[in-house]
Amino acid sequence: MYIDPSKKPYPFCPGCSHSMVLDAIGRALEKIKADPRRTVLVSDIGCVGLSDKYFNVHTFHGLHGRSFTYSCGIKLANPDLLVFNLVGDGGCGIGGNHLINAARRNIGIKVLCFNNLNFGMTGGQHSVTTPFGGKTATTPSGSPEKPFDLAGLVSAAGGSFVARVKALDKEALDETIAKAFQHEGFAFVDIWEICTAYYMPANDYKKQQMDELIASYGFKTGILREEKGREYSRVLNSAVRFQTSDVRRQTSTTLTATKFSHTLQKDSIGIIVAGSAGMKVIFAAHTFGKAALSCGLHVSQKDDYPVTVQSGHSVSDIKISREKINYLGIDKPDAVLIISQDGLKEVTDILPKLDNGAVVVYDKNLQIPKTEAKLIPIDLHGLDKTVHATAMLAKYLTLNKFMPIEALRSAITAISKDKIRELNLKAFEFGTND
Amino acid sequence: MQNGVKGVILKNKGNNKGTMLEFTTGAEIIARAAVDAGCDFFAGYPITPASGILSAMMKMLPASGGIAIQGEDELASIGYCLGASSAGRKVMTATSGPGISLYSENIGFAQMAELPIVIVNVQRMGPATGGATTNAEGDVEFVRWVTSGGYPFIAFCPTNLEESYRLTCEAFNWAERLRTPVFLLTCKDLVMNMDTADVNGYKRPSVIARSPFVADDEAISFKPYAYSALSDVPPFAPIGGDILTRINTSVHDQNGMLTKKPEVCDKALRHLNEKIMAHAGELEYVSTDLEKGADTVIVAYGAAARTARETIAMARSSGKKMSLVIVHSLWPVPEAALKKAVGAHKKIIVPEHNLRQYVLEIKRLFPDKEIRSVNRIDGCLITPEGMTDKLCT
Ligand SMILES: Cc1ncc(C[n+]2csc(CCOP(=O)(O)OP(=O)(O)O)c2C)c(N)n1
Ligand code: SF4
Ligand SMILES: [Mg+2]
Repeated sequence: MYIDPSKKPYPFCPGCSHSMVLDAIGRALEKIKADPRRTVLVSDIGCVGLSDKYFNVHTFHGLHGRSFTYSCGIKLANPDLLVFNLVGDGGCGIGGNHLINAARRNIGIKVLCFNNLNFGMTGGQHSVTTPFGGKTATTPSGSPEKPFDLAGLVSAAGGSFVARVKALDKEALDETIAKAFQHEGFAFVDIWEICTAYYMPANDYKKQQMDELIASYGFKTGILREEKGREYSRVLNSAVRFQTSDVRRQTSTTLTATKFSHTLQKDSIGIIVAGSAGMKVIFAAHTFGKAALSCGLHVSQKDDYPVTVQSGHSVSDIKISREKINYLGIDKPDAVLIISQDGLKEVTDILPKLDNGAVVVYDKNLQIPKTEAKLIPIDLHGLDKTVHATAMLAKYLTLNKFMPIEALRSAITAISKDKIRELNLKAFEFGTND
Repeated sequence: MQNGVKGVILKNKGNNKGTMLEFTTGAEIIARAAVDAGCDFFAGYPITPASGILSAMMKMLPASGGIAIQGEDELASIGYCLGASSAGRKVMTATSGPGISLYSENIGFAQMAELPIVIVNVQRMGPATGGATTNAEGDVEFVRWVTSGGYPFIAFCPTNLEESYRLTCEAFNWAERLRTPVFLLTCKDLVMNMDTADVNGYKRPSVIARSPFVADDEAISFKPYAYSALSDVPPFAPIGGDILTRINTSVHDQNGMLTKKPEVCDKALRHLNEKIMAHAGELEYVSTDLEKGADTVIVAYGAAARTARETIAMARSSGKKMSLVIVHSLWPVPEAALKKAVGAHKKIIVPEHNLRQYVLEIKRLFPDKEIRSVNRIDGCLITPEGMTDKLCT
């Protein structure tokens, strides 16, 4: 009843092992009395991918090598389902990364690999399991490559159920597939097959040669590994909580009430804070931005730093505006705050473009190139370097009082970590009293 | 000025004392919009500038009844999503150009198999690895022609946080309604920058679910890809539900069975086109700020459109007349809305952070108008002045 007899015969070549394996799957489903409505067949591409229509279960036919990812997605979405993959040795090659990761995570999909040592559908090219010396369309003088032992590979990746079985070994095949289906976690069955159209005639590869090959590799057949362990889709789903409240209100970013008034005269001002990694430039700019927000101003902040975040420069552009901010760039900054040599390098091009309406506040130890902007050196000696940016911003606020100093103090006071808050408050006092 | 053109209508709200504002990122807003739109499955692979969305979903989804997972690569991330979508989940993934490149084949699969998914493309400088932390808007044509076959996609494009919220919700609604992949095309500067948001003031669009197959006594005759008119959307039955269903990436008949019959293929593929294009009118999201007597209109999208708002304000404050048309639904091209909005303007300026892409569509629509392309590809934004340099008299 799992396989629709009216749809048969299968489309495979005479003698192709694929037919035997499909029948075995039907018998295994029967044996475990799977509920068809909770059973999902996910097929890869290849001759093996022509199997969907014979089965009276849910079927899903996707891309070559990606079938593992669909079955994982289905299983994660609904852990109660029996989800199994029909995939060729070709599919295990192109999708190998998904195969080993599903095994590693122990996602409870059941992978049945129809391992016929070559690509059947595309004309008998070599696959990751083609034996050394095996003749295929793409290894005409015999394969110079060593093959993967797929069962061994999946075992090494942590697959919790791994078996190797010959398609011609009917009883073992039925039993192994049934056991794989009943296994709670990830299962892999490496099913050794014969492709009667290509690999068999090109290599005189029949039942006896298969036995000899397996023996020469020193491979065992049967269940190679069976371990208990938490199945991953259950782990992920057990972390899920259903809450009815609006997540918009459960945000980690703090909301800022507008409680101060500003006296910003210009439409907007642009401030550039230029420092080094580790100087908490972004954090200081962010706190300053929140202060402006609490005065009813609009703020945007753009950060720039190398991808190796703990090295080199760290520059934040802060734009503060009375109206909604449209243009995000700052072409002519009102203030450039320079707290380190790395930062100075980043703003060197900007300095000559400033006019006398702008200010440059900088660490007095830095050599500032020529600029028409008003220069304000400050001595940061004695202050922790993680709050130099805060001190500079506080200093700038005392020069351009577009918002109350209290707004900045309030934003700093709201910093949750005690030590960081204390350091920043110290820098605030330093900047505003200097 | 709103001119009765359908679209996302966003008023410039005053910032009054006592309102609660947030200083946050586009990544955070997109994630919250997804949750509000009913997203309950997310998978992604880290990539700047889209990683913030992955992190936000990882934090938010389990607390709201969903699952978020980092895939082993992009192929897996979108694959997980499509599997989950087939089981009835509302799914989203987010990446940037290199990831979209890897998604390509699976995007075609989602289209062919009619699996809803929202794909966020946070654009950065390309091609290839390009500039990881550098802004660009060069994927406009890429998302339209992202996979083989050439069948249509829907792509929304926000200019700010509020639109990021709104259009993420709309993307889910259209993906579910039409059972198709939908893009949210945004960029580094709109996703990674901190910006001012009055999130609690954002209007949440009503949530639309995909239409389910309703089992009556003919349940036996359920067809996974049933349509009468080519533009119909097949009613959905989830994988793992009580009605057995089939999902198929290959060209299939209405039963989900692989087919090569020319007359069946013809219908199946026309259906993919028709079900989108039949809604082209409803899919026109354009906002306008038109000025009577203006000769020049800026037609823009994304970060460039945001800057254009300032260009317009500057022009007007110096007594020049100029109009602005912002395209929020890049694909399908909102032809009727654009024609109506551009109307009698003589000159069209199309600013883009790429070397001329959407301007080709504008030229197609307005062959008789003077069209100027303004382009910048160095990672910096086109400046408000740069939009009209030497163009405005
Ligand atoms: C991305 C992609 N590359 C290549 C192909 C062409 N292709 C179809 S089937 C196949 C190999 C199938 O071999 P296998 O998985 O061993 O299955 P078999 O035909 O042997 O059952 C290939 C390469 C494809 N469909 N998709
Ligand atoms: S080509 Fe090989 S794998 Fe394909 S059906 Fe024929 S015998 Fe089987
Ligand atoms: Mg094979």
